[in-house]
Amino acid sequence: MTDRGAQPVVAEPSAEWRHLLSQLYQKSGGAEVGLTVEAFEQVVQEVIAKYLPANGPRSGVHDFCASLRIEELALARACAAGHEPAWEVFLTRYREKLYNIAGYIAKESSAARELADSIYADLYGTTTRQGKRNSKLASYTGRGSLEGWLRTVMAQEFVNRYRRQRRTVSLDEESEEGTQFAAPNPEPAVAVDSRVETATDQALAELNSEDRFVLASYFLDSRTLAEIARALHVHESTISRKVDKLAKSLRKRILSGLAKQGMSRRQAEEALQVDVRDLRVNLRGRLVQESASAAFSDKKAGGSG
Amino acid sequence: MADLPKIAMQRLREKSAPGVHPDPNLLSAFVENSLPGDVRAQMVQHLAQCADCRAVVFLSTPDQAATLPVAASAPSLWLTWPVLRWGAAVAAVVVVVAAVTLHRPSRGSPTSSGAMLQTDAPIAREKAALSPSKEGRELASASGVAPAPLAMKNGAVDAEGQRLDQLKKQSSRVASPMLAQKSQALGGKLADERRDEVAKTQTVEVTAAQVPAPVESASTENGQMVPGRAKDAAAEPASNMGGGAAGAVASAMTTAPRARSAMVPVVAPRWTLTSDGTLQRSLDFGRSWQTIPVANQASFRALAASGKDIWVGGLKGVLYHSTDAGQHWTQVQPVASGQVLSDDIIGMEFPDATHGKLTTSNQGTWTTEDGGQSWNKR
Repeated sequence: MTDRGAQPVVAEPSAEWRHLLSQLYQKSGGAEVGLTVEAFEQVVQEVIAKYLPANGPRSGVHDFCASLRIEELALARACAAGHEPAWEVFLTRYREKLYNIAGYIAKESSAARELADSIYADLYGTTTRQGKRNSKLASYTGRGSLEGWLRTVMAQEFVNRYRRQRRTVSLDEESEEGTQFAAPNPEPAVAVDSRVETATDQALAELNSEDRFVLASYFLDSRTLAEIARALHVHESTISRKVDKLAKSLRKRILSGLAKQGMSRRQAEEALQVDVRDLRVNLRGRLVQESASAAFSDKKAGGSG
Repeated sequence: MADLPKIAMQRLREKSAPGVHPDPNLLSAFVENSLPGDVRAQMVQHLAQCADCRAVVFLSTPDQAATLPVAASAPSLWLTWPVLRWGAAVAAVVVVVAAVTLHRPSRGSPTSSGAMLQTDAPIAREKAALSPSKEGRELASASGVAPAPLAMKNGAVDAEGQRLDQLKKQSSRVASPMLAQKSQALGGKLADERRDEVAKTQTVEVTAAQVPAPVESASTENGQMVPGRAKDAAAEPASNMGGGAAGAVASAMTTAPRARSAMVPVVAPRWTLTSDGTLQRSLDFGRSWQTIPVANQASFRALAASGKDIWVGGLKGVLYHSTDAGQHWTQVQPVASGQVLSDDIIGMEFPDATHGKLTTSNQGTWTTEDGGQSWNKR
């Protein structure tokens, strides 16, 4: 478990730090799963370095450590290091859950089993890197529960697989449809009024992130109100009201923006009625969302995330 | 629900510049609502623009809360406002009908509270007969209809459900609209209760062809005993894989019950132990887990499940056994050659209801061949 070269927040082992570490180690049950104090300290230092600024206050370190799932962190890292007692505990608690989570995500039993087996192999660490077992559990940092982390890892793997498969299928479909022989894109029959785009962009820019998240989840991803409510930890009725209110206010703002640009009310409403799918503009490139960024890197997200 | 203008949907999709994706640690912490405010805000900002991360978040979000305490006794449904409201309505109907029928010659057999429900309200009477609730039984007894047995088995539920559907159609011809309305309300409430009853019943009726045998209590000099264990006529497939070292602890799906009517598919419960030694059970293939109270301050480290039979063991030889999928527990104290098991139980295997093996922290092995009535130590 390397510290990736980051400077540890707690550079000098003060008595206070030793006391905190001792408490954390005892709470973690590291001894029972084969994790030594030294290894445990290294893990904690690594996690602190990953999420806290290097020159932050010591009180922040205490609060941060208190918020960690320290027992699960010790278990996960002990498993990553290959300690058998840790694996016994892990299997008892999570093996069945792993397959159940896969079943929930993949829906179809054979796909679920394949997904779970693949993740299980990654967790166990069937490959080595620089002589050390390369286990995915080494990246667990205790911010959330280990079970939640397993869910997310599995969901991430499923999404990546689906994305790869979608690209492959798209290529096959293109071959069947003969688009490689297609003529160059014809001139657009109907162009989007730039005033509509401008007014829409302005209206969307006025939304806060959570509102955009709700709209994107509901209208783009076709998520149910219940799913969105669970993700945001609010009641379903709250999301229902929010979606309705946002859709209406967005429409109103776009119409208002169009009016400011010289359109009459009727023109503005007609412009909003145009179905972009009917437009023979080069929408294929604009609509297919190609993610250029590396998926789920381990770098810090933002400043302290 | 208001619709979003199509141009807005297009621009919303196009304005995606997600940047660096958060790692699974942060995503899972977001799902569990355990991120500090500023970090959460950054996460939401990213999710608003990244369809892939949104997909991960939604797939990671479990359907229900992970742990809901499951009391040994049924949770109280009687104090919720809808129940109180409809209960009051039903009580009012009972009073009115009683007052009316007391002044009319009764048609059925006289009861303590007089005949109540006439043929112009068949649905209320029939539902009352079917109802396991107290009001239902009162209504049923008042109308002279024998109430259905309290424990409705799975197979009977479907038939009764169909009967209720027929009665609902009949209720449209009921003379008294108010009574029909109240009956519908009662039916709805009763349907909810029946669903709960079925759910409870489902959790018990897990195993297949077990021939119920008389329960005998026994005690031997080798061990204190469970209030008797019936030997199953046909043991279900040995689904148990042992706890502790072996890993999987859930019982597999059993074959459909042969003897009884089991028209409703029954889900075998799955079991696990949390990091602090708490026993948890899932009745929905692991989507949600409920904490099962076994004993105060008991911390378990191993468990074995085979159908309805569950064994859990932990520190200092603590050992509990349930024969009804965790509804009731009995503490078992293995004794062999005068020696009481006091070491920590770290593993156990119970391939069937009678044969079992405990592994202790002292590398000792305790075995039983009679469902825990007597033990041998190796």
